Amino acid sequence: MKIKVLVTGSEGQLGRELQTLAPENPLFDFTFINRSQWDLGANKPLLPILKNSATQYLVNAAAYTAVDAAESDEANCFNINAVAPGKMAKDCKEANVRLVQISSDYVFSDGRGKLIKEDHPKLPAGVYAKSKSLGEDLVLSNHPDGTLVVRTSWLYSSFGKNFVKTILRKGMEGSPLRVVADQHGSPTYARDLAIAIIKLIEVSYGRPIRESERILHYCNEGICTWYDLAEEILCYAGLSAPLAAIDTASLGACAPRPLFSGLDCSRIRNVLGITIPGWKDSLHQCLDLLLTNNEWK
Amino acid sequence: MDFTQTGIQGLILITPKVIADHRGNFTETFNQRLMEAYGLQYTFVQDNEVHSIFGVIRGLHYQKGSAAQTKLVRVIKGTILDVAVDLREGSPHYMRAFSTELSEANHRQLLIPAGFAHGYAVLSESAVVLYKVDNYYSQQDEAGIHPLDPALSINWLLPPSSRILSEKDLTWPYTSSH
Repeated sequence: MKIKVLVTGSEGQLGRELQTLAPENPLFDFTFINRSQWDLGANKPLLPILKNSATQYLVNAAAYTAVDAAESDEANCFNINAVAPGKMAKDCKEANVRLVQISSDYVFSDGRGKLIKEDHPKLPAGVYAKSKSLGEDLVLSNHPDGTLVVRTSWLYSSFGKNFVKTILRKGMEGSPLRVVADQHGSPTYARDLAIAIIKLIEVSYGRPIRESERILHYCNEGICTWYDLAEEILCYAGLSAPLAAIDTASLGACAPRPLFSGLDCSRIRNVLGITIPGWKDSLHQCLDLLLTNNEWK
Repeated sequence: MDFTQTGIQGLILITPKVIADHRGNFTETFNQRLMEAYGLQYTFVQDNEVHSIFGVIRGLHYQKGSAAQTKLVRVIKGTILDVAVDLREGSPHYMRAFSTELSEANHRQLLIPAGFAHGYAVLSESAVVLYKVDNYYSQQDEAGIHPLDPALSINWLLPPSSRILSEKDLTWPYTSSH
């Protein structure tokens, strides 16, 4: 029997990667829903969909991710990232469905050079960060035995809009680039995250979720600054666009950003028995895709 | 087993074939005959295993004169940024640093000939590095370059607050004094 998985946010980066991987995973029966089919923020009941489709796992890959816009759009951001997932968790509990909630490194704002473990006290700063943190709390309290929270960071892919594609495009145009060099974190290829989530479903299927694995960190190995990431993108693509390092303060963004958010991923590595690719290797893979298919535009 | 020349003459990336199935995987990690077929004639005499935690930078080490070592480096746990600095006088890449990710996931190995200084940074929670050398360890021939020497401008991909270095590695001279 196949494992029935429903994925929200099918047009997002993670959703698209899961769609790409679905055909290679015959043990799973994936259904993808986008915002027009079921809007996370619209407060429509999910229970009938879960019951009718006999879903066993729900991957909530839908989120409000515009970090700066969130500062002046608090109600909407909290509704999508916290209130709705909280309701979702209640529906999942009622329908006996496992929930995989995707969360963010932003729940930590006080990282200081050491990789951050799952049980490190949270300290979200900014509307987006607080909404994601509350989202975690709500799903975990509403469906404690059936929820897996996966925190990731600096997500990119060949799909949608993201930092890697923006730098590649600007680099191709030869535009001068100013990139922040005082925020450290781990870039994560959404393809790798999608692979880990599929593995997580497979490994946890049919057995109880241990309390110690309710929250898991997944990002590519290694940390860097956005500047290092931009430099690696330009270097790998053979581009010589001028690149200047700036600091967070001079960027003048509305929302606060963590200065160090390297996540310790040893827990997920142990639970899944996987190796995690380094960020450069994965970046090169994604760039190969973008450059061959000319998808950077 | 794939042998790839890097931008620096003599410095070679080796990628073994990993055969995976439902039980796990199998990898031939060293093959003298294949190395020789590729023109790499070394007799390795010692294996070293090093465990380190996140943020550790080791290096940049070499042994002087006839004690110089060729190293074959690989990682069986975690991810490192492996760095080799060309110290061969007259080399077109003299004092140039080459760096690459070696990891448990990519199974890659770096062959660093005698005449290079070697070091690495641990990018994962922990890492286990294995390396072969073709000359025995010799305490009196130990030498090094300061890993944070600005002249080499090595980006170790670790913020200053994460870096962990030994007292000894911090006492190595800068290249200006070589």
